[in-house]
Amino acid sequence: MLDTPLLVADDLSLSYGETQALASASVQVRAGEVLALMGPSGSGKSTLMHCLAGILAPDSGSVTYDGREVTAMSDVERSALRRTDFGFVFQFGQLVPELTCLENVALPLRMAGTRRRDAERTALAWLERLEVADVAAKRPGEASGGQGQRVAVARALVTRPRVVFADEPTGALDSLNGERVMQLLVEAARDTGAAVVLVTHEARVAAYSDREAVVRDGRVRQPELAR
Amino acid sequence: MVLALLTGRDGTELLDAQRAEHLRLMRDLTRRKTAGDLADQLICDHALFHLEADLRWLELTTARLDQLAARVRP
Repeated sequence: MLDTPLLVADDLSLSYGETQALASASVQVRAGEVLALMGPSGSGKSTLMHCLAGILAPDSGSVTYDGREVTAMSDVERSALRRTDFGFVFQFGQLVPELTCLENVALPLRMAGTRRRDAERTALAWLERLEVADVAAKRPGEASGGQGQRVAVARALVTRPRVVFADEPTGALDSLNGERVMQLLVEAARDTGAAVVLVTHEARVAAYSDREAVVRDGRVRQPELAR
Repeated sequence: MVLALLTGRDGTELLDAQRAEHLRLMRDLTRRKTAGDLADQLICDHALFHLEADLRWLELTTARLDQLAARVRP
């Protein structure tokens, strides 16, 4: 793990109308680390993650990724960055219901120009790794919640991103399935050297991280890189 | 908590320090559980759920801190 921050949010502020979601929030993510963004509902942790990922543009402050200022990029540049360098896991998977699980995992590779056969071969290897190769030909609606979430993890990692953003990835799962998803996500991220930004309000999920930053009222406590 | 507030200490800081220590313990237990056998998993689960309950209390207390400070520091 390198000590140089890979992703830096500096002094971010963002309001939704009269509601201030972020108020001078700063946080740093090192290459290869698992960082948990914790905090109660409405604290601003998901908004902070969306700013880090270049999905939301803050009203003020900056986000820098690998020396490049994300907040100064155009929409097209940010979209390209998300496709090539970032992976995403959401609470409810958000898989494409019309595609099979295999096609869902292969989709990011296909969008990057990989040939179908190669993309599906790589996707199948990821499904095997995430222990869900048996649902490869099924559509997401035919898989269980736990299986669907493992497919979502495979899709997030298939392009070997440098940062995986996981927003309450086990929020819709029971304890045992949630535990297995976290084990597989962290294990796969460590093997590929990806950093993980994990948004969660559950301490048992945050316990899979290397470090936590607590978001409260739009501010980050303990943003330091020490430990 | 009450003593901290009465002696002018930052209640949030105290709760954050306790939360960080609980999470450190939970990380150790999670690592032990991941590498361990079924007995380890059951023992660690037991400890993890207790620590998680404490953390939830800490989080709720943090949310009630202003109320508590007003009560003990009139």
